Amino acid sequence: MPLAADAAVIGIGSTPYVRGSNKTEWQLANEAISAALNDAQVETSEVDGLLRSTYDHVDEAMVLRTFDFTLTHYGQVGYGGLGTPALLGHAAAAIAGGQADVVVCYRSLNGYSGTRYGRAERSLETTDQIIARGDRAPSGAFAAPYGLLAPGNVMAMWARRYQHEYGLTDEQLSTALGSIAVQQREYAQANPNAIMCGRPLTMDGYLGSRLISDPLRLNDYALESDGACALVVASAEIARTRERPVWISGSQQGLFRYAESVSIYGELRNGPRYRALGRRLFENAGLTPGDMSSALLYDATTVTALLALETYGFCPVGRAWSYVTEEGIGLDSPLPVNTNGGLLSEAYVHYANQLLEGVRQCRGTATTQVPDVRHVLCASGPTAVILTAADAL
Amino acid sequence: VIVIPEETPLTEPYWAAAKAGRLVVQECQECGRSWHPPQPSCPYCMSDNYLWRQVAPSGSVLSYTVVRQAAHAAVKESVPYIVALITVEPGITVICNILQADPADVRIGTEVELRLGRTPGGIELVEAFLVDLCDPWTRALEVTPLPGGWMPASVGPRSVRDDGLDLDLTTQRHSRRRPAFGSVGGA
Repeated sequence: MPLAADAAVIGIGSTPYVRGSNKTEWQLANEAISAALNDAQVETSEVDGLLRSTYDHVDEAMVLRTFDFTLTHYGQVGYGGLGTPALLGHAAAAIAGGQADVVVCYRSLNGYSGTRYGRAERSLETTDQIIARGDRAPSGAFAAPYGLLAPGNVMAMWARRYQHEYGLTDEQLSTALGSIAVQQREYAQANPNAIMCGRPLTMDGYLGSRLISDPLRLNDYALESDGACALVVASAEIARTRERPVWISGSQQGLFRYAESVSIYGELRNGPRYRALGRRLFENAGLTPGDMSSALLYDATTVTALLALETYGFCPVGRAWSYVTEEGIGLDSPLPVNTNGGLLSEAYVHYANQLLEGVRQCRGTATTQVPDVRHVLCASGPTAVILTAADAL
Repeated sequence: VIVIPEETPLTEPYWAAAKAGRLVVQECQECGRSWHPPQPSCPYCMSDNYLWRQVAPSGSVLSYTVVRQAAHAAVKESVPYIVALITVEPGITVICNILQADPADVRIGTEVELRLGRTPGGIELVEAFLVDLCDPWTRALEVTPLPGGWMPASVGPRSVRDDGLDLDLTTQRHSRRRPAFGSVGGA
């Protein structure tokens, strides 16, 4: 199947990433969208599409107060960081379907000074009596009463299960996860926008960091940060007038039973249904995992990035741990991963900052640039987008 | 802080059975398969013809974590504590705490005994104990199944409560059983 692309990212923008923005998420969204429109060189009047996360507190009406868009298409993607890559997929679909020509996508999150994703207060009240609703884990009626409260607790159980399935010792698991955390921190040292720039991490430092939820340590977890990101997606006709459009050459918003963002009842993210979706993404794009120059793999914890290497076929099932231990994810490895430092060391804008890094890699403007980038995979669980550099289409 | 699971028209029979000391799951009357957590129809054949069936109160650890940093004020006094996924039957996984266990003794595959414990906050929760560490006193309190192990989906809390369980003993048991994990569901 030939590589097809109806839409391209023509602009990106973000706020600084900080711990303590002293701004509302509305203000942050405003800054990021302004920056993206400026980068895209599009006028407010040209924008006719708007996409956001269902988790975003900044809704369409708020955006339209400050930007006088006339929308013919708007929508939301669900399940937080799991859905974020689908912002670009939906934008491309809306454009291909003739519903819009220029689509703004955004995510704004005071994840440090506002709602902290490492804590349960976003889903549970802090009164003396808390009602746990629904059956989601964490925080639902069958989870919260047991103290299963944060996504990081669930991902810790994923890590334990992975360790057991493939017979890893505690040390092998720690070394594998630590190699991801340490390499991403190293990438962050070259990235002045990264919150962890200037704070390098050694393997000893990783192993010495405190356990949060066994077997995961402090440095296995994403940052809690404040910031916003935005992207402008345009039709091929408009994109061709830009110097370095980044084409959306494949996308998939995957979901199936028990595959919602943080689930405990289904298979691990390297299971057969996830892998089938991973294969389908590449088949539909006419590409293979080997065609990817780099990847941005959702790293709310190190273990989600680890599992994604298997979901998307970069290594055989059960081998990602030895792969990251032996080959690594650095610039000299077969597949540089999370080259900006990722959610672990740049910032946690619910993965939207990783979409921006994917665009930078395709443009050739990343702080740690992979040479001759052709295609970049941006993946979060079963949801993914393939970005393609202008000269690779 | 008390964490109260919401009871809905769908899940009310689960909690009613829990109040009577039983762990129940839905079982499809068309294809015979069971599932948890509760949902409106069978995930395998989509039939909504189900009954609630008691499961044997034992299982093995599918995965677990020792929570060492509290993610909510409700568990600030409880850390460290063990949250585990327990496979009670093929395809049936329940979340619970493993109580009175040294984390070093917990492994994936470890066999546990389950019981429904009443927290000081009045909530009936699944509690797991390592089999090897169960004392005879604990074993003597294993729940008594309903005749045939069945109850209809429409059964309410009153009718499943008449099971001869000594409520005084229940209270006593839980004052002994839950001290290590008092504040989730605790007063």
